[in-house]
Amino acid sequence: MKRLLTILIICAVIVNCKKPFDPPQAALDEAVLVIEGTIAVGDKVENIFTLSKLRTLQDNAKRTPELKAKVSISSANGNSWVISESGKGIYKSVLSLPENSSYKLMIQTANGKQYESALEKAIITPAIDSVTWKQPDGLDLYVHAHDQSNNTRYYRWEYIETFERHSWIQSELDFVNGQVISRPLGDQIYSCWKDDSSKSIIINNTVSLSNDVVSYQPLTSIYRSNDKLSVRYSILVKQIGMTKEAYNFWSILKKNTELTGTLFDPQPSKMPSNIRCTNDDTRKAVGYISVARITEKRIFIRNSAMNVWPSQNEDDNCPVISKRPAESIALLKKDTTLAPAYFETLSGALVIASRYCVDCRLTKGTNTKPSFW
Amino acid sequence: MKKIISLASLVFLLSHCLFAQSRSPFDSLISVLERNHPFTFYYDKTQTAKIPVVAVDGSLDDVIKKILEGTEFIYTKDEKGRIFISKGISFNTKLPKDYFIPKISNANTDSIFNASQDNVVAKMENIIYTIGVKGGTTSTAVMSGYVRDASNGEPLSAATVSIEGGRTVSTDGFGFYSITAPKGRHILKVSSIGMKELIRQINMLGNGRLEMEMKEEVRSLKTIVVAQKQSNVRGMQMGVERLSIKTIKQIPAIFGETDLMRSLLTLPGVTSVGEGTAGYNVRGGATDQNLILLNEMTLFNPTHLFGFFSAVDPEVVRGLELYKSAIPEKFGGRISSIMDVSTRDGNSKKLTGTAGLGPLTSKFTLEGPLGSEKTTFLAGGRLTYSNWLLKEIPDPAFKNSKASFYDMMLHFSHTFSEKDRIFLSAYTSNDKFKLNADSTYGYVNQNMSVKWKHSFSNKFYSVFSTVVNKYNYIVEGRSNPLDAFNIGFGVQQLGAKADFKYTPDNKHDINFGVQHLLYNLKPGEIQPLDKASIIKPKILENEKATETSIYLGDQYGITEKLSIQAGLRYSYYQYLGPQEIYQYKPGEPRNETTVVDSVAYNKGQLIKPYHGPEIRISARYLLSSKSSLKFSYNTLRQYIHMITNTTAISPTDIWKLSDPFVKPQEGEQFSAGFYTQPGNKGIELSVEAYFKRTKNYLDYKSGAQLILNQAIERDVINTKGKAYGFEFLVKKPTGKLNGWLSYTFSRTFLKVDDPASGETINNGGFYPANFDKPNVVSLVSNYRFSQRFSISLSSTYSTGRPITMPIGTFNMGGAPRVYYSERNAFRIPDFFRTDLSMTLDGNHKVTQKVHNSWTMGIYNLTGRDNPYSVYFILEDGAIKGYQLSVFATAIPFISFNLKF
Repeated sequence: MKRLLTILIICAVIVNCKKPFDPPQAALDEAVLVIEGTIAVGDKVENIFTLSKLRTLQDNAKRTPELKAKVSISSANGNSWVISESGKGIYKSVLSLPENSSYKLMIQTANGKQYESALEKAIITPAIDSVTWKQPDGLDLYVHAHDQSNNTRYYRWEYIETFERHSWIQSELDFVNGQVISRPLGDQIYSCWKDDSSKSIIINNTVSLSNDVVSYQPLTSIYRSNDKLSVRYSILVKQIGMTKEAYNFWSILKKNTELTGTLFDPQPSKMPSNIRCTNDDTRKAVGYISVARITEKRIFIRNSAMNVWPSQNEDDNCPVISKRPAESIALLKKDTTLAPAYFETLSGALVIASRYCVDCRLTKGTNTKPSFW
Repeated sequence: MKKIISLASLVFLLSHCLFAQSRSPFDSLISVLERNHPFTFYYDKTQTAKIPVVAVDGSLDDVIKKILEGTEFIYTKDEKGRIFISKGISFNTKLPKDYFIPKISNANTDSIFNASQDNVVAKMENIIYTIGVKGGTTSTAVMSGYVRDASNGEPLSAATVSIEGGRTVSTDGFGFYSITAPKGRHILKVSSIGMKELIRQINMLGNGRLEMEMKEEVRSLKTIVVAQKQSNVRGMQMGVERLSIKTIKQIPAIFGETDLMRSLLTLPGVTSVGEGTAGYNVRGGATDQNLILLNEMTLFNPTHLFGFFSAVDPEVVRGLELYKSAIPEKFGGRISSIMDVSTRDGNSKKLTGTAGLGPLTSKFTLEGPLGSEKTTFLAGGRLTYSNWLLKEIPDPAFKNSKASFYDMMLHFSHTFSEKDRIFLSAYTSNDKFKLNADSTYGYVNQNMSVKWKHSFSNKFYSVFSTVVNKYNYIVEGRSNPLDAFNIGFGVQQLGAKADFKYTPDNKHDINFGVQHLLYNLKPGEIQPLDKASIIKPKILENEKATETSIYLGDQYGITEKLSIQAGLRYSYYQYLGPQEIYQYKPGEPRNETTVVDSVAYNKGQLIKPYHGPEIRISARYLLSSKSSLKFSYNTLRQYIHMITNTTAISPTDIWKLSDPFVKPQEGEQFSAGFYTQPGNKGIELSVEAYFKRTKNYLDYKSGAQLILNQAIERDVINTKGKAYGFEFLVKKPTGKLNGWLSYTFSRTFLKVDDPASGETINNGGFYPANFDKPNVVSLVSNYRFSQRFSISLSSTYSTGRPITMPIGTFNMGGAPRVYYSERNAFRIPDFFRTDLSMTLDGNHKVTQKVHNSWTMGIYNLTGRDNPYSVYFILEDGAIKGYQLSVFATAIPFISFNLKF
């Protein structure tokens, strides 16, 4: 009896308590412009802004970009910098904005609506002290920072990961016009690099601490044997100091989408914004434009630096065919999913395999080594 | 058989009187009279020996009258030629005219009658009790006393005492009543739910006392005719719900844990935001607008385990009353409702106890007299072993989690004399919840009250009481040694009050009193847990305030049909130093930039007073003996606010006292109702409609920081509210099939248009409150198959509560995000649940030392997946909607109870 009871209660309390819910179709407010980006001050810094429109929940499109807008940055003393459109709703330019001024973002959309953000003073974000990692099982990455003057207090972090991965079978050959040829030196297909960026909002504040010290701020966790760490991994962490209001915006955004679900979560809050439409009161904007110096730190982690990080064995997925060169070439001609791998040194046979096992560009990024690598 | 014995004893008694041993002058006179008149005299020789005999002339009556003049003796003459002379007691020589018809007519009030009682049925009912001593000039007299349960001496509160054809009063919390009636013969009826109706014949000669003991109603399998019971029709109060513990226990409860708060939810006008949550909403009021009193003690957090169970052990409770609209003037401090829970006083006749075993808790009670019947005690406790439940949860978040709670109640009563009684109650509840071995939540209620009841006379009594109410919580976090912390909050209330009740005559019923409360609130502090932690200790300054109220009310029966209850309460609140108060630019939103100054107040210095009257008026008009109309108008004030931003009450919610910026909440309610009892099966029908307005209920700005905020005035917004609705109730309180069915229509709206808030919700228009549930249907039914076996079924349907729903999505911070609708623009799916329980009692042999009972049942019989909340999260780069339910399948339960 007790056993049965237990099972039923557990079902009731936990297992069965969550199930998918389809929201009713709602008329979408078309008049909402979404703006993301930070006015980055300092010498030769890239300023990137992304403009898009609100989509319905049922809309699976990645993004509905706002195209052909005129975007610029104005300073308190009247200077102006134009940001150029680079397609897909992205507007970017490398600028050198003096650190000791106040700035705002100005947007004029294609349909003539004008938006501007509140004029804000640049926050001088302190440097990142270090980016460290621990390997309890998977890999956990942390950022550490401090502000000697105890001024920054509110922080947000973004990161870009870059990782090198190898194809399962190393090949220096190529198959061009029915001929197996050697690849030119700069055109290897064994090592590839790929980027990934932060997908969650990482913010924290040190208001309740006596010193403005950030320690062991979690950035991301990589589960064990993920191939991001199969060869070498790098993470570039960007640190952005914020005002309390901007912090409030990000924390509401985070709470509204990432933290709901338990019985005691707060209700969704209305998102504050420091952007408004100056020529139409009914238009709304989503976003918060901060002005700050952005500090960065990059670290590298080699696979060998960690405790055992098993990489996936692809032998089963990559059977090789070892035949006399003529037969192999005939197969290559017949089946374009195959690629030449190498010549066996003793027998002179040409080993061929699936292109996916030979060419890292197909699944593991680009074969161009990043400049910082 | 009984009849014969009674008759025999009567005859014996009478004949005994006749054997005179020595003759007094009075005896001689009687012999003379007997010789000359065709009458036989019956009297007590020893009593009459001293009656002086004087020479008198005239008829027989004249002679007897003259002789008895100035003595305490009265004579009674019957039609069979018998004359009874008795001291003090007059007795009725005839049975009432329609004695054999259940409905007894207005009895003849002439005191001079005759004859013997040769047709006695039930001994008590047919004895005429003489109240008081003859004399006095007034035409009315006051009778008072206690109504108790015959089996254990427990006082019965809210029992109605009525004089047929006259007034009806209810007993108070002590089981005390006081009723005024014209002198003379009356038929007195006393009724209380679950008890057998008591009928007594009285002869009121003057002011006096009469104690009554009621017996539990024996439900016979034969049909019983239920006479007019305690009902809503005649009572003055409206918007009052009473639940006896017996009824509460019949309502099926989750895990078989009888639950006081949860039982309230079956009543019309009471809702909650979801299952398994603490708190309830009464007629569109917020959860912090309900005052919960346990023997005068205020409970700040009356729940266990994050709200899954209520924290008062039902075994010690006698019953509860919930005031929804016409709140008596003696209550104050909250603007929505008063829930008054009273415990039993303890058995005054013998030592008894109970023990209960359920899947989650065990409980026990012990009660009995201490030394003599005059002192009684009652002790009850409950302990959980719910850890196993958490261990079984296959979610890593609950690994190494532990939950434990207990609560205890102790109650003493002592009777010094008829006039003085004293009561002492102490209560504590303790909760601990350890999540993942690194965060610990704990909260504690501690309460104590001492009450002294003193009767000055039959018409006038007082109750003096003092009370201490404490609530604290502590949260400890040690997931990261560098910021290991300890957050604490506490509220303490000290109170003293004097209540008086004066019943000068049969038209007035006057209540007055004074109450003083002292608040000491620790708004919050954070401390580093150990040396490694760099948490900056922060202690918010304690808040202090006093609240003094006086009240006066009168229930005035203008005519037989129209009664009015008019009361006024005046409360005076002072927010006191020491405290530092920011000053802001007037008319501007309050934030860091609009601070113009800060003022430091000294200890005890008045910072801000608030005061105002609270009007409590209600009227009842009897349309007939079986139906009435009632009306009430109430205003209320509240000086303490709960600071919470979650949908459900959470244990870490804090309370805040009114200060210069956080104004007292004010409420106002009009209500009107129609009550009727059609037929004679005891069925009650009622419809009540209400309209309510509130002011200064708190809402929060986006991103408000609620805990450890020393300038919370910057983050709160004052809201206005309005609520209206009607409640329809059909109730069958007794019989084999009993229970009730209610339908409630209600709407609740809030509005934020405070210019100082700096932001509005829904553009300053009204929006539905979180607990706005327009349609609610509730059924509670119980069928008693036999004395030992009964089945209860309860069922609830309600409209889903409103939520703020995402209507759009956009990308930001590397992932899709959601864009929310206006506040509460959508609703979660409707709620429906049916529960079933069965109670099987062991045999009822009186000689048996231990009685046992089993309760088993199924919670959520249909297994419906009632959504508690709907939420949207980011999963694998996409927005996904989920609904969350608690108790989403049918849950069987069983519990075992012992009574000894």
